[in-house]
Amino acid sequence: MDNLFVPLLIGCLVAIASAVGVILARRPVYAAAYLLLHSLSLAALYAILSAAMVAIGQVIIYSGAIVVLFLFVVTLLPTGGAELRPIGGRIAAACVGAGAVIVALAASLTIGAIPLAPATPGDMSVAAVGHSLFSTLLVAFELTAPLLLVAVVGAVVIWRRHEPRPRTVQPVKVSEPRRLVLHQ
Amino acid sequence: MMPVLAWAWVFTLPGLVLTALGIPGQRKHAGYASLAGPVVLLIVAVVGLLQGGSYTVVFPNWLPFLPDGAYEALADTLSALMLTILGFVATLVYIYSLGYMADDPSRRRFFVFLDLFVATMGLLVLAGNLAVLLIGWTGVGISSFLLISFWRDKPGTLGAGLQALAANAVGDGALLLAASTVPNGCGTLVTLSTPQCTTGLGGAEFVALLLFVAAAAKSAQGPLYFWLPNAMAGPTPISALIHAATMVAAGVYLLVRTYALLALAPQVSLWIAIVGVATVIGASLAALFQSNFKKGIAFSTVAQLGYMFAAAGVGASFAGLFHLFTHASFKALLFLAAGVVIHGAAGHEELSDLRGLGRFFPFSRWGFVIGSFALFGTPLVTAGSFSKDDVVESVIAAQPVLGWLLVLSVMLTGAYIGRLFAIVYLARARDSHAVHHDASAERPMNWSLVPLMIGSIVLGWAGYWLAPALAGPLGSVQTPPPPITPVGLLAFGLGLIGFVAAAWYVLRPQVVLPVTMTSYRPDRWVRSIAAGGYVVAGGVSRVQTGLLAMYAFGTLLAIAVILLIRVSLVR
Amino acid sequence: MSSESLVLGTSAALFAIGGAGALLHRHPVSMLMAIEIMLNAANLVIVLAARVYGSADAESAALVVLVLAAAEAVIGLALALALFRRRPAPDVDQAAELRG
Repeated sequence: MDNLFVPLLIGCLVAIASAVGVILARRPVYAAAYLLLHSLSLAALYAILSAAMVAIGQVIIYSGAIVVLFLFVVTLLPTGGAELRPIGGRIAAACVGAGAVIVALAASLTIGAIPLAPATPGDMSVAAVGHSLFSTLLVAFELTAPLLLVAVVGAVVIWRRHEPRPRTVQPVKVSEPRRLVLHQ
Repeated sequence: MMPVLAWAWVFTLPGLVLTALGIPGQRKHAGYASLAGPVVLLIVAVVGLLQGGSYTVVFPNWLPFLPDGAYEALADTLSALMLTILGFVATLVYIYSLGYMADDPSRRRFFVFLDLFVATMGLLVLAGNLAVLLIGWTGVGISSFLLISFWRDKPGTLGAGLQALAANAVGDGALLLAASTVPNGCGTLVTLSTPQCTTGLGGAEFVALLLFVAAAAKSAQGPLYFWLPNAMAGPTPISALIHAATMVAAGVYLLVRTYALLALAPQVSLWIAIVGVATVIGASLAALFQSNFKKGIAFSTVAQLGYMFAAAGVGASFAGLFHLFTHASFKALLFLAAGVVIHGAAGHEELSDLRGLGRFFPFSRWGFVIGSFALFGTPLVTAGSFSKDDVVESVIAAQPVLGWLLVLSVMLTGAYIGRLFAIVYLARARDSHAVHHDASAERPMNWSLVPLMIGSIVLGWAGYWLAPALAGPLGSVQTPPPPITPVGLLAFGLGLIGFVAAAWYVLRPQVVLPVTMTSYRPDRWVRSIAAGGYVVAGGVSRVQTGLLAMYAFGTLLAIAVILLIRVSLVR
Repeated sequence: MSSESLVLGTSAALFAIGGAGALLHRHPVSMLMAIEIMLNAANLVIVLAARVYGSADAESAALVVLVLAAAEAVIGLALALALFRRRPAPDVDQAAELRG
């Protein structure tokens, strides 16, 4: 796989740089733009790693739908300028947390032998992916359908709880929600 | 009959569906469609028990993520016996509920939940491996919650149901851990003790400990007793069926079924016996001071389960099972008799409200008499003595100290049940107009007591036939002792002394004593321990800042720590 | 350094960067974007494993993870919108009702 080293290096650098851009951007809109670049760079990485189907999926599903969704929501939650500055404690916590995770992951990488990929990859074509989705991963594949349904229904339910009540001529008397009372 | 018995847990499901769909139509006939289920169960179970034999149903690889994820149902004489108990008490409780819940608006829901309970309890008893046992186990826990918190408008019932769920969760967790950590293919209950299966993580002792925790949670032993007295918030037929005869016996059933594993884990077995005896003494003392009629009987159940645990702990699994068998009938009798009085007093359960009202309900009074005498073990006449003598003598033979403690505690048994009997049935009623008789509701209630009365008298003799019949599932079984033994007579004497003493104390012709101790100031050391607890709790609750970033930080740190621990372990 | 170690190191770095971003940002959507970076880092490792072992099963697993990311983003954004609709400056620190 070493003839892929240089393309991989470029892709990784772009991914890391755009991720840093996401977290350092002052306005959420800029962060969303950096996220788009990040996901496209990941799609490129997937393509270099011969995972064609996942690369296309990343472009269509992630960049095309999820990042766009983020952009829409960012416009619905305006900050009126730059985002609030992080307080000092947060910066310290971020550094310590990220540092700890990096150290732990680096340590974990040293204990296992990283196998080298074969020069020509196994069958990772779209046909093979489809075959495995419908045989080995059938249950997971079928379960993604109710997962998405639940996500959509859940989003609607969460939203409607906070919808302003329609103003009628007389205010409707709303009964107290049943409270959980633990008497003992 | 065994192949039919292996599917016996589905017998109440048609009734469940019919009742849930609203058949029969009139509300006052709701539940009649469910009556057939437990009757069929009882008939099939008795025939199966008499015929003997054993049958296994296996569907391999039904839950692939568990080490032993087969669906395995085992029908042998042990499960037939448990299903006989279940069918017998369930049939009588169904008939009783037709009267008790006659004017309850949610009567249909009640019978649906009852059917669910009988089905899941049947599945538990027929389980052949840990995976299916877990499903039945959780199923009865859920049914118990639904039935405890049945009356939604009464305050406190939801809390009681949640307490039952909490204790159940501990037991379920232990059982799930056991089902996940046994070696591959070793989940079958009867092969848990083979050498290849006991060399897994922690060995036989660890699995036995997990099963003990699960059984203790289900049977309200040791520190996990708290939910059972509070479960009396549910309707009385439920207290009789679930929290006296069947569900709480599931813990004992588990220990008896896996007797071979317990034999390989002597330390855990000793702890089972110690916890059982400690629970007997503690619960008997607590029962003596209860102000609520049903809670007093509930603590009695906890104590009697302690006897069964003590027997299982010393390896006398048949003795424990025999006591389970007789206890089911006389405890259900006590609860249902109490329910007649409570129903007549319009739902009041406090002893101060029920004082003397029992004398207006003759069936209930006779039922309570027979139940009480069976409880503290009257030889020859009642079944309780046969099984209690068996338990006590087995425990004395194995652990003399524990055994003699059990004999002494029979005096407490007599005392608390004598106190309850005297207050409700013997004392002079303050207001004889406080009861209302409803003849059509009381008829099914009264007549359902009769089979239990007969059972509490004669079932002891069945022990001599049961012992060889259960030799297959239980390994070597010692026959129960003869009806009259010195230890049995001593225990009976102590119980009778306790009974009479408590009755005399209650009926003394002096000022009516309050049945609770109302002024109780804890000592200074208790208060300081409580203050210390508050300080610790306050400090710990400061971790809950509600800030999302802090929680995320904690998670990241935890990930890093776990990874580093793993790295250091591999090196 | 081999290509495999490069990709693994990148993934670790991306995970840490995402974690830092989740802790730094106070705007809910920015926080969710940082979490998405962490998800993508994990997905990258799965795809690398697929390449190393030549297995299409792992690649399909990465596809399922992508769907999972979509579902999670939907719910997360719905929650963010529901919580912070009417506030002038959305700040995650204000949603501290679990306190105590």
